[in-house]
This record gives sequence, structure tokens and C-alpha cells, in this order.
Amino acid sequence: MFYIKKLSKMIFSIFLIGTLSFLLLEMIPGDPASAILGVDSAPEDIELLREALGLNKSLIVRYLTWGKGVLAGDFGNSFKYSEPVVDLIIKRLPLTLEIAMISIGIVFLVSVPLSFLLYKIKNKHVKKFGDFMIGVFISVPSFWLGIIFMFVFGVILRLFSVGYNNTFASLLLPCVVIAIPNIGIITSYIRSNLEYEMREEYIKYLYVNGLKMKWLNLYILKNSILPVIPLIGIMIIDLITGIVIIEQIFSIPGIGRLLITSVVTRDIPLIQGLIFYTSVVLVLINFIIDILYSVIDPRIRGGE
Amino acid sequence: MKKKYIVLVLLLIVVVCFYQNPYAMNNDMILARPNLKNLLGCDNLGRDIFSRLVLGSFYTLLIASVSVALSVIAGTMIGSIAGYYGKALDSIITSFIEVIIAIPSILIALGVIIILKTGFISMIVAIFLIYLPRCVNMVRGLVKKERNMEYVVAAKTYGVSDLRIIFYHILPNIMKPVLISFTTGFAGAILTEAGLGYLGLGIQPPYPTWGNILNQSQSYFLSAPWFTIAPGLAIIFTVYQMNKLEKRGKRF
Repeated sequence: MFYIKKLSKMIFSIFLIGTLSFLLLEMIPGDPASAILGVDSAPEDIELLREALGLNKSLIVRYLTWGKGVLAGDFGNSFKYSEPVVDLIIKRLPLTLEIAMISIGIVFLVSVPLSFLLYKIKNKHVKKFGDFMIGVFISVPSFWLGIIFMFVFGVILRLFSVGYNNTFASLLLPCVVIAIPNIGIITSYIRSNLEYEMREEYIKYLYVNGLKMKWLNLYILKNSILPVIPLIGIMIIDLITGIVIIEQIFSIPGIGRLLITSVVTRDIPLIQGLIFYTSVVLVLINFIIDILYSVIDPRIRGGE
Repeated sequence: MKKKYIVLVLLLIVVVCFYQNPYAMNNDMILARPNLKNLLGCDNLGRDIFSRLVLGSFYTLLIASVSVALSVIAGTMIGSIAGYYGKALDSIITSFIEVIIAIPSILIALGVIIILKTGFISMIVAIFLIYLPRCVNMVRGLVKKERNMEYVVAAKTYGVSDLRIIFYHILPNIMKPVLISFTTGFAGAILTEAGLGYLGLGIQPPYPTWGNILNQSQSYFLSAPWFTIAPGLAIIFTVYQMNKLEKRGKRF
């Protein structure tokens, strides 16, 4: 029952996202064709484009043909690249997903030990400094950090290559930059979990029974990290925003650059495709995470 | 005591900055170093960066506060109706909200920008749409919890109308978390504005905002690093203080 509910929710999401991205074209004020081509273009060109977009048919007919195309994986051709939108997206999506995965990896590698360390440290000044640093991490705009890091590490110190050149090393700096705000968020989240778990009854019981501190810490840590798993889904959604901007700074040929160029050139089919595909990929990832989490922690399957 | 001094210093800064005209260009001062006359130097068109930063903070904070306030108001209305009535209406609203939350905020913002072109209104609408679903979700949860409290049941038995129960009885009780969520949204809105401004899709020059100052500054990092660093520090400072405010609000 739980899985059926989740699955139907996912299908509804995909349907709604599709409808929204279709309506995007409809909501552009005035005639979309002249809006795309510009006001001072020839009337024949506008008429041709109207024909190509199917604008001379009614809304419902257009919606149905569009929906059929989407189901077949066809979003039409991009105006700027004159290539099928799907090909353009599929070419670039893996790189963006790779960046997202590496960033999430970095977030966990850093924030789990860091939160444990901050939780264990008893020195007041160090603790205060740690809190301050986490606050700064959460507040820093990642793209600003990206500019600074690129110039400091790339141009002045020459530790990293500036821009993307197909190697893992050139992706590392952008990923670190994207990860930093999330490190702040996740670290403070795990730490408050740690403090909460510490006061739980079972820990007191185990302590009274003489369990070694090493094992106790392990239990506390495990139970504080588990609730982070459903957060990953939300984190990826937030990461995309950072990735779009960071790709622009480091000139990484991923989804983000495609998105910005398509917005600047008003390439409507490409934007529709990008919004639809990116959101659907995220919905799928969230669905998988939900299922995984319900396997790990069966309590949430029980009810709302 | 310390806080008062900080506010005083900030006020003094605002007064000092209007000593310089944020729009006046000066060809002799292009990318000038920080000096006594221009506290943070000049930008690529010879305009005083410091006064532009202060004016930019006005535009940025105006956009953030207006859009987040609108989304909190609308979100409270929708959320409380969904939470109070429950059943079919609730499940329709929540399923829509869940879908919109799953769309990355930048895609929503870019969609709005495509429709409305760049400018003040598209910025406000974009941030409004990004924070509306989160607010609805939160208020809905709170109202759902309050709905079964005794005072609501008592009011119902006296025959108080639903709207009056929602807005006179329930709303004052959930006001605190709603106001806290305003600060969270405000911090996020500043970052969103800065990101879009940096991409050149926010408010267009000559109006300065923190985002589009960063956009102009990035090509001059090597010759004028203060041009990039100053707006970033302004953003960090504001967002940090907002987050701190949120934390303090949660403690009470």
C-alpha cells in the first residue's frame, strides 16, 4: 500500500510538471511566435513558426499532441541548436548528475566527522568558533565562493585548472564550492540529532549496563545519521540551483549552462524540455530515496 | 549594549554613503583603490562602490521582504484553509504543493523570467512562488495540530463560524512559527536574488542590487578584488544575522 501510494504520487507529479511546462509557452504574453523571433521580424517568418509550433490549433489539441510527443520522448527541436531537445539534454545530464553526486559525497565525508567532532569538543571557545563557521557556511552564496576560489586557487595559486577539461580534478573545485553551504546545513542537523539521541532512554540503559563509550558513540552516530537520508532528496533539489550557477562560473558544459543560454536566447522548446526532464529526474531520485529509506527504517511505512 | 553600537555604526554608514552619488560616473576613477573619499573604491564605470552597495541593499532587502511577506500571507491563508477543512480539499492542495516543492527553485524562477521578462515584478513573483509552497506546507501542519485542540472544539460548539475560528482563534496561536519562517524565507530570498542577479537575470542595471553588482564585478577580480568581495560579505552578514534570528526565535 505504501509503495502504491508513493508510485501514484510520482506519476501525478510527472503529469503535473509536464502540464506546467506546457503552459509555460501559453503564458508568454502576446503571440509566442513573435515573442520568440522578436517584434521586428518578417510576418512570413512568424507565420511559419506559428505553423511549426501548431499555434493555429486549439489549446486542447496542442496539449494532446504535445503530451503524445513527451510520452514518446520528443520535445521538438531547439531553435538555437536546431537539434532535438532530448539529445541535447541527454548529452549533458550525466555531467550535472555527476557533479551532484560528488558534491553529496563531499557533504557526507565532511559533515559526519565534523558534526561528531563539534559534539565531542568541550572547549567553549572552539565550540563557539565552530558554531560561527557553520553559520557562515550556511549563509555564504556558493557562486560568490566559486568566483573567489577560482581566482585564488586557479589563477593566483595555480593549484586547479580554471574551467572544465574532461578530468575529475577539474570538477573537484566546483563540487567543493557547491558542497559548502550544504555541509553547514547537514552538520548542524546531525549535531542537533546527536544531542537529542544522547538523552534517549536506550543510551542511558546501555551506559548503566557498562557498555564502552566507543560503542555508545557508534550507536548514537548511527541513529543520528539515519534521518539525514530523506534529506538527501531535498538537498539534491537545492543543489541544482547551486549547480546551474556554478556551471556558469566554471564553464562546465552541463544542464545549467544549457538552461541559462536557453533562457537568454528565449529557446522555448529547450526550456520546456529542461524543466520537464530535470524535474522528472529529481522526482525519480526522490522516489528511490523514499523507497530506500522505507527499507532501512520500516517505521515510516506504517502510516502518516 | 554592543548591539546598539552596531546599529549606530550601520546608521552612520548609511548617512556617509549618500555623501557620494551611487549613479555618478567618473572616468578618472575607474577601478580606483579604496580611499578616504570612496571607502570601497570605484567600479568599472567609475561609480562609488560603497554607495552602490548601500543602495543595492535597499533594493535587495525590499524585494526579499515584499516577496516573502506576500508568500507568508498567501501561504497562511491557503495553508490554514487546507489544514482546517482537511479531507479532499487538503489532499488536492498538498499534492500540488508537493509537486512544486520538488521543482528546483531556479527552474521556477527562470520560468517566471521567461514569462514576465526581467525586472522588479518578475523577481518578486519568482521568489513568491518559490516560498509559497513551503509556507503553505508549514501552516497546514500547524493548523492541523491546532484543529483538534479543546479551544477550537469549544468555539465550534458555541457556533462560531469557521473563518472566525481560523483567523481569530487558531491564527494567533501559530503566529510565532509563521514569523520565524519569515526570517528563514528572507534569508533564502536574499540568496535567490543574488544568484539570479549574478546570472544577469535579476533586476537590470542601473539599479544596483547585491546580485548584479557581483555580476559586473567578476571580470575585474584580479585588478579590483574588493569589488567582488564587498557585496559577498554584505550577503553573508545579512543572511547570517537572519539565520541567527531564526535560531533565537525557535528557542523561545
